[in-house]
Amino acid sequence: MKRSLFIFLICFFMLPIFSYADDYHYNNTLIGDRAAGMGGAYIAVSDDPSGMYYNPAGLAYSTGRNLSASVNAFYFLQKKYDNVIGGNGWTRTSSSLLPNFFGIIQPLGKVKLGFSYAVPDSSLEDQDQTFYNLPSTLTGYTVSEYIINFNNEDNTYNIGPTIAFDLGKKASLGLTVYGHFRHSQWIFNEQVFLKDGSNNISANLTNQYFESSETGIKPVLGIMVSPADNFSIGFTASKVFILSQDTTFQQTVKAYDSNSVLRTVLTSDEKKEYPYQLGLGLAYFPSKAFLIAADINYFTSVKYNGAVLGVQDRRYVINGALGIEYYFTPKYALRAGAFTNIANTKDMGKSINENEQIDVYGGSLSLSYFTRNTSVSIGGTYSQGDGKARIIRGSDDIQDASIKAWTVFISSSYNY
Amino acid sequence: MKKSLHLIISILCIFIYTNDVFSQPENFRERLSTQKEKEITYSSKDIQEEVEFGREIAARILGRIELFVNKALNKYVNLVGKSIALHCNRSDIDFKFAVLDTNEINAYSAPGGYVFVTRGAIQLMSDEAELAAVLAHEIAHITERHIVKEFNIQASEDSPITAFARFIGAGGDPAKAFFNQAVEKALDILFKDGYKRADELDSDRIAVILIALAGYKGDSLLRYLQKISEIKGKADVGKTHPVYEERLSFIKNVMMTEGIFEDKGVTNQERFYKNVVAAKILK
Repeated sequence: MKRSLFIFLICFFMLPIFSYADDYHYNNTLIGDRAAGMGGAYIAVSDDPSGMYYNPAGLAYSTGRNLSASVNAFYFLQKKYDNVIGGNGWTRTSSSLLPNFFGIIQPLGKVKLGFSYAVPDSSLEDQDQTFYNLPSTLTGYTVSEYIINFNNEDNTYNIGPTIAFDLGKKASLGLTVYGHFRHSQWIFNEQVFLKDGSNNISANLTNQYFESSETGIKPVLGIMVSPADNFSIGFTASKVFILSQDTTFQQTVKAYDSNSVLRTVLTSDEKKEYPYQLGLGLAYFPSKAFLIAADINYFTSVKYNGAVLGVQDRRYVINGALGIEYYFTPKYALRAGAFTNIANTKDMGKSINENEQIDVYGGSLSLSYFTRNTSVSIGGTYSQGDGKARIIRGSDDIQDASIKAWTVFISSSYNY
Repeated sequence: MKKSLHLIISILCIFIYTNDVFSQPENFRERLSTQKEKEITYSSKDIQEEVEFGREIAARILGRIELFVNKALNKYVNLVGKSIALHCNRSDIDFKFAVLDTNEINAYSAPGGYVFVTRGAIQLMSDEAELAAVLAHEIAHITERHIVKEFNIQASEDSPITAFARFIGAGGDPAKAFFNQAVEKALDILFKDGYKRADELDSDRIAVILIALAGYKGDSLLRYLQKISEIKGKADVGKTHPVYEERLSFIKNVMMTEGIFEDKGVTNQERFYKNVVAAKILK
């Protein structure tokens, strides 16, 4: 069966890999300009609008009287699977261009209020791929043409207010209450043209449609303490609580040896489970020109098995980040960072329907230019990782898989 | 789940503990770029913005307290005020002075050169030197940009970088909303909260120097504030200034340090009475 095509399995190989865009990692997009440049190591810094996302307590230390910031990012992801179909590799690419963060702060004495919008995950796939002359396990048949059309949109939006209390320069407390909105939709069309010994062509056609909308809240509680001069520690706790979710899955199949069409429609209001996220950050400010920060984020395991959403067992994950900031002059600052994006899927090799497991490691770099009340930053991140996947549902084949992702962002912030 | 809750509780315990025992660090979060903001030089557009901001505040002040309509008195107060302003360091703005029709003993100033003194304050004065001292104190709030600095009032940059920043920030002009908020907050300072203690003392110091430079008696401000401190609680004295005892002591120190003597200079008492009696402020 290896390196061959088993038609009926292909018809159903979508669920493990197409269920969500990249649901197998928690750190797909770095939010904010300064934070993204520092690899997302921001829990103990967080003293600008993007702090509302990383650690709302940091907002209490924002220096801008009124400051807004926005980030526009182009995100590109490539996943490669080796030896998938007849020895051919398979490549999925996803990209999106959108403003992924906007935040504004309003100081009110020792209290700071803020409002922010963040897009922590987003993907857009539009894929057409055709394979020719593939072998088949159906006796007397070969696959003359195998066409896949796949269109996928998956966006998560967080939007909501923040309040931070300055409890003296040594401590602060903050809370962001994000509304969580996620909309995922994909359409998968598969056409398998079979040729028998007499060169007669018959077609196996499959159409699948999946749509899911989540509405929930994501409270982010943050604490910041400064136990010593030039040093701060941040703590955060958050979790997405889904309040309502509507999911629809439709499948229409016409088998190669039949004129009848089989249609299946599944609907569900089952709610997806998200992990608790606990964060710890340390930041050291040795001078006004240099800053070094490190974060650890712990995501609890999740156990869930939905009728339509499928198995969503996730193991616990610990992601780390390290970032630095250096001002060459008061006008220019360089930021760099490194981060991990560890897979939340379980170890492979235990069952045939398993989610891919690819641990990703990345780096970031950005340059900021400051005028009197404006700053503009340009930067990017790059990450990659290798792992394993079972891309064909029902098959015991394990493929080598890899991820390469990069983001280019441009952002601005200004006091007014 | 239980483990997570335990972890959260532990973090909160650490937070409460540290909040009590750790010493207060300096503002180590300040970055080089924010330090640069403090070294502001004011452009002509900044001054224009300051004047517009002050004009809006002045209009709101006149919306709360009516102007004392007496052309001659307002002209006299303007002449005294402008003679003081000649000695200050803000030749870039045109000072305007006016009398407000209220018994409250107070004076107000708004950025950009707008100075008001109340009818009640004038009634308490003994001579022109005291009027000059009160106006000089308000002029100092303007020259030192106490409100301007408090709200970071400055013109929007029109550099290509800023235009670009606004473009990628999806446009919008939050500065306008901020302008209105800042006006409201500035009025809170003038009518409710008062200036910062340091700003008041700073204005007292500059006022003492200005009236001496203008040739008035050096103790004019001291004399006027002494009168206020004596009637405080009996008359309608504005509540937006710090403790008078502290100010009086501070002014004496300034006079000693700057070599300003109380018996030198003029009071122009006769001219003062002529103008205020004509305006029917004094009987």
